[in-house]
Amino acid sequence: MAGNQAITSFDYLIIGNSAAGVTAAEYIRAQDGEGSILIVSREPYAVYGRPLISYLLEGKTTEDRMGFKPDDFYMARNIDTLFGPQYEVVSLNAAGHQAVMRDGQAIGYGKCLIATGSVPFVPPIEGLEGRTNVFGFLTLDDAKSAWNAAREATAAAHEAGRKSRAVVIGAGLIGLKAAEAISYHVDEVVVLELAPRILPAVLDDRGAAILQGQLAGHGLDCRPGITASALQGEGAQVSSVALTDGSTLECDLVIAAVGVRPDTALAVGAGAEQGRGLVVGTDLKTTLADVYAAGDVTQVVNLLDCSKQPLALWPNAMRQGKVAGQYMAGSPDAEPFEGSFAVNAVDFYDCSLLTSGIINPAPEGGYEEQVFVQGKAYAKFVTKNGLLMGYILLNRPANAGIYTTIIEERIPLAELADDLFEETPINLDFPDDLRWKRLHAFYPSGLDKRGWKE
Amino acid sequence: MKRIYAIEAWCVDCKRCEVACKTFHSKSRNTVKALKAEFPPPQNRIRVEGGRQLSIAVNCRHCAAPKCVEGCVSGAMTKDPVTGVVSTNPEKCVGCRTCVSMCPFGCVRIEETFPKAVAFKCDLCGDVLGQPGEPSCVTACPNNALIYIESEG
Repeated sequence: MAGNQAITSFDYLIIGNSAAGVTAAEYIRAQDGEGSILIVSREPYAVYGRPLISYLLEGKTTEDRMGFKPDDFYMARNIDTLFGPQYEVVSLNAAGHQAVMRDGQAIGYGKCLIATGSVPFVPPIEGLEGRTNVFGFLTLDDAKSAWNAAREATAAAHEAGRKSRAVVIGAGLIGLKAAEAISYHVDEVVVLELAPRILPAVLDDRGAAILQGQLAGHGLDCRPGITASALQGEGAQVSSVALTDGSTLECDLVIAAVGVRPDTALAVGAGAEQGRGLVVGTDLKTTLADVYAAGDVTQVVNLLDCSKQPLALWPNAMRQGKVAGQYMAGSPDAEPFEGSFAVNAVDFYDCSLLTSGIINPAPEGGYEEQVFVQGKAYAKFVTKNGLLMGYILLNRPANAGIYTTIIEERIPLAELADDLFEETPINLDFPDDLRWKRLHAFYPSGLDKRGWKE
Repeated sequence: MKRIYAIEAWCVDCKRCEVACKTFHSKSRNTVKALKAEFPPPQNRIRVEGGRQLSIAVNCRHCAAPKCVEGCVSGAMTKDPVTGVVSTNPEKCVGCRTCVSMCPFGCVRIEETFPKAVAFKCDLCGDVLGQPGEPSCVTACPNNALIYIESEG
C-alpha cells in the first residue's frame, strides 16, 4: 500500500501479520464493520503458512500456494496493510496511543494488538555473527536464502569434485525440519544438539532414539549431546565448525535453529509486564492500556499443570487471535482465554510424529506411563488420577485427535474402552450416551435415536 | 446446514457407505475400477467402526468451530462461511497431520496419493470445495442408518 502521507490514525493497529494478527483482524471486522484496521509487518508478504517453509524446500508446496488466506483477504475486509522492513514498529507509546515505524512515521491508534510472534534465540557460539552463510529458519526469507545458498554450494562442491555439507545447530522441531528440507539440496547434513536427545521438548529418550535411527536411514546424521563451540573460516564465510567433542566438521553452510523466544522487546520497551512472554489477562489485554497481545509473544497458562510458558504453536496463535480480536471489538461472543496445551504435528520423510500435553512428567508428580512399541511405531501415554495428560505417537497417527479431545475434555479413562491406548482409538471407545452426544451435535430435537419422529 | 447423522441402532456393518464414498470420489465413478484398478487409489472418507454386534458409520461432523481448521497451518482446511461445509484443498495441503491431531472424531486422514500425501475428509459429495452435494453414503445405506437432514446449527 502506498500513500504514506495520508496515514495518521487507525481504530485498530495490529503489529504482526501471521496467524494471530490476521485472525484478530478477521474477527474485529466481523464485529465492527466501520472501524479502520491497519496491519503492519516487517515481512514483505501477505500472510503465509509459516510452518510451510520447510515444505517449500521439499517441493511439497510452492510460494504461490503458501498464501494462508485468499488473495483478496485484506481488500475484501477493508483492512489496510503496510508490509516491509521499513514498517517494523520500533517504539510504542501506550499512554499516547501511538506507534513509530522504522521509517520514522508515527501511527495513532485506538486499540493495538501485539502479534509479533517469536524471534530466534541466538546461541552464544564464537564466530556466529556477521557471517554470510549462516541462516536462521523462521521466515520465508530465511528459507529462500538457505535454499539458494544450498544449491549454489552444492553446484560449487560438485564442480570441485567433492560433496556439499550443511551443519544444522539445534535438533528441535525447527532445526530438524530445516535439516530435512535442506537435505534435498545438499549431499550431507549433520544436525547438532546440545541436549542428550533429538527433539528434547517433544520426545522422550526412547522415542528420540527410535526416530534418530529412522532419520539416519534417510541419511540425516543427528548428533545429540554435541554442539558447535566455534564457527571457523576466513572473512564472512564459515568453512568449518568446531564441535564440543573436540572434532571439526567442514561445511558449506550453517543453519542456526537452537530455539525461539517471544518477540516481546517492543511491548516491554513500552512498559508491558513480561514473564515467560507478555503477561496477558483472559481477555488477552497486556498490562498497558488498550494494548492486547496474541500468539507466540504471550505467556500462556498450560491447562494441564498450570505452569506458565510461551507456546509457539500455530493453533494456539489462531485461537488467541480470535479471542483478542473479539475482545478488542467488543464482541458479545468473546470468551475468556483460560489457557492451552501443546499439540505438535510434524513429519520427517516417511516418519510422522504427533505429540501432545505432558510427555516427560516429573518423577514425583504422581504420573503413570504406558508404552507400546510395534514395528516402526512407538506410542507413549502419560496419565494422572485417571485422566490422560499427554501422548507421543511416533508413526502411529491414526485418529490421534481422539486422544487430544480426551485430554482437553478431561474425560475419565475409567469411562472409556480398556484397550484405548493399545491400538487406534475409535468413537466406539466412548460410552453410549457420550458417543451419541459427541457425534450428534445439532441433531434435530424432534427425532429420536432411531431417526424417527418422536 | 444439512448434516449426515449415523443411526447406530440400524447399522449392520455392511460398509456399503464406504464403497459408495470411494466410488464417488474416484475418477471413473465405477465401483470395480475404483476399488480394484485406479491409481492413485480413491479414498473413502466415511468409515464403519465396530462389527456385527455394534457398528457405526463415522464421517466429518462439519463442526461449528472446527478444530481442524483452527489448526491447519497451510490454509488448506477451511469452513465455507455460507454453506458451513468444511473442506480441504489438496493443492495447498502438505500432509503435516495437524488436522489429524486436532479432529476429535478421527475423521481426517492423511493418505499417500499422487504427487504427495494429503488430507482426506468428507466433503458432502460436493463437486466444488465448500458446496454440498447429495451424499453418496446416505443414498447407498440400505436401512436408514445414515440420514441427511437439516440440523439445528
